[in-house]
Amino acid sequence: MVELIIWTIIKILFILFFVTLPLAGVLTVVDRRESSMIQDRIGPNRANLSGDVWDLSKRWRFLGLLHLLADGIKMIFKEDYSIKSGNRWIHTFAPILAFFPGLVILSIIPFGGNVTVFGSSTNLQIASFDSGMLLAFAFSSIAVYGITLAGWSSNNKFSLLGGVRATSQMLSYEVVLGLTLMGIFMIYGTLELNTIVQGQQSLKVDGTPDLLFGFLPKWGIFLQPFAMLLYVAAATAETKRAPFDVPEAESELVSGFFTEYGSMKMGMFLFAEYAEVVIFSMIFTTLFLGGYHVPYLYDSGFILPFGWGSLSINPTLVGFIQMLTFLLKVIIVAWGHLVIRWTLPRFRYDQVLRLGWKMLLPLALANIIITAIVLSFI
Amino acid sequence: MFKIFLMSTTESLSKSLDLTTTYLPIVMMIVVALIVAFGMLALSIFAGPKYPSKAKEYPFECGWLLDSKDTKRKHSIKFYMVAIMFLIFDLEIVFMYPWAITFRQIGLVSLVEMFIFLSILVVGYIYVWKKGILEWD
Amino acid sequence: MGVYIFYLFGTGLIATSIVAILMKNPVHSVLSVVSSFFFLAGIYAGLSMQFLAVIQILVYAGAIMVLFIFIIMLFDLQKSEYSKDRFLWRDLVPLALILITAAGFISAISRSESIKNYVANAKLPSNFGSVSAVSFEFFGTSNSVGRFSFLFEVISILLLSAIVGAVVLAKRKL
Repeated sequence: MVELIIWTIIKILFILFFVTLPLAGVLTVVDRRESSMIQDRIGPNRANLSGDVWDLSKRWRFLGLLHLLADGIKMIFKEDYSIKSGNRWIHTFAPILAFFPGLVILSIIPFGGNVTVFGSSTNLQIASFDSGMLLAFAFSSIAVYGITLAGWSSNNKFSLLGGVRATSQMLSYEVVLGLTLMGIFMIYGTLELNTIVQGQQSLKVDGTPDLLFGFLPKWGIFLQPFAMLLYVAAATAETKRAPFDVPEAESELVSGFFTEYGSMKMGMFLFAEYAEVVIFSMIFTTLFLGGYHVPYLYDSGFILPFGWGSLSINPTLVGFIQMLTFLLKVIIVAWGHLVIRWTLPRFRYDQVLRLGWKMLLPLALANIIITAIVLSFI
Repeated sequence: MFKIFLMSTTESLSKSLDLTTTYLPIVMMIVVALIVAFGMLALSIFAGPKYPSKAKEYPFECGWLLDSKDTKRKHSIKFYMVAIMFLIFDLEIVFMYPWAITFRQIGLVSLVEMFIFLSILVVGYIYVWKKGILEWD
Repeated sequence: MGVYIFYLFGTGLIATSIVAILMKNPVHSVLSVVSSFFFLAGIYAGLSMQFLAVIQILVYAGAIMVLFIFIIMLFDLQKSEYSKDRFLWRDLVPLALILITAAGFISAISRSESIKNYVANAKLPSNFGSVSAVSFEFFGTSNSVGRFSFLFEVISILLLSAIVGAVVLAKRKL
């Protein structure tokens, strides 16, 4: 019991304060730097630690990463004004409703294999929950309240329109999101994420690796490539990022549902968006990219395909290698997600909804039916 | 009397699963997430300066009308239809999760059952499509 | 353990439900109902029905109440249009009747020997409340149809009629 609590605290602190929040913070800067590189600008690079040094090349700027710190401090020490005309209570607490549900999803994500430290063994997953993925869906549907109420309570035309748009977009794509992943659940036979990860790269009963065509690991991306594409589209829309960012379309709605927010309250909406990107990347990695698995690395060490030999490694070392692999995969997926944002033009609002209801939904259904037929005849 | 009854029912139900190992971590995660969120909110409320002025209290508006009367005007029924359609399809999907995870164990029986279920709902989907509910113009 | 979870979440459920009735602002009421659904999910979880607990949040809190919020937003209630009901002493009469009836039911159930025997002898399957257990009830096993297979098919007709109803509401014709 005590061991469980201590491990849980360690895991929560690690995944929240050493992975998700810092990564989300870094992504805010990376997003701006990457956009400037894509658009042939310089981008934010002026924040520095060395003070008033005249020569720019001698300033300690750390690639502009200090803007993360500068932005955070600025947001905290800005004036926190609140409007008088709307609903002040809901206006104040809406950022919390938008921010915290995403973080709860972290509790079901396995971020590493089994590790043993000081004789105490644990899975690097905060909670092994039988309906794991449903918990993720449930809490991401709670996040809708934050957006809706922020738009409603602001008593502002732009906010309300942004909030209504955001809500109906998120609701539409929640349907698609559930349907796209159904194929994965069918193949691995569970909603629990750690079991899905283990199903993606496992040993057969006789101890030989369970591989596709003799060399491909059974990752979701190889078994459900079509579902992966649909999932990326649906998840991008669910996080309300470009090309689906119509709820906060700057050219139409000022900044959508958080027009009336300032200081860290607005920061929480922005931060929630990047935290959602990180969590999306984690779920994507878990479901489609084999989670924490390194190709051909099993609990006891490497077993290469085609009988090219094997190499045994200390199981705890394997656990830590897997943890680092997971983080690496998450960073790569998050980076790819940012590239999507800066390379595709924005959809119109009717196009967003039509894409969800008239294209992604039937395609996802077709994917389920085909998967079901194929699975029942294998 | 009632308490004994309640004890026996709840205990017999909650015994089948070890509550602490499954739910305690999730509850801890929810608590920590709420603490982080409230902490950020508190920082923004208490750390910043306060310079109240009349102009800041008005909602943001492009241009001239400071106090707009009709901020909460009526919206298109399309938004409402999207919410209702979401509700119906979400219920449909909820029934698909249990089907999906036991599909490989049950096999053909559940495939047939789900196909009947889906074909009835696809009829509804086509009906909605033809009625132009999914149009946005 | 289980009974304390029940008391904790049950108290919260009743409290938030009462708050939902007393609030003047409909949005506050809806938020209160949403939190009461979380308490209800907690009770389900305490009774090992974890699938039901998650579905309670996913469907009721995440879908149905969102629709409520949406409708309140779209209807645009002004402060002057909020409910003007005030507390009257005669409102206590139905409340007292409800409480007396409920107390009668509870005492009848807890005194019933047959229910007591059933509870004492009840054996739960080891996977009680999990997603797969629910699935076997709906879809059967590899060689038999499940207990609720027919009801499951009927649900699709129910949902179909809901679709038709929504379309009729919006379009005023079939």
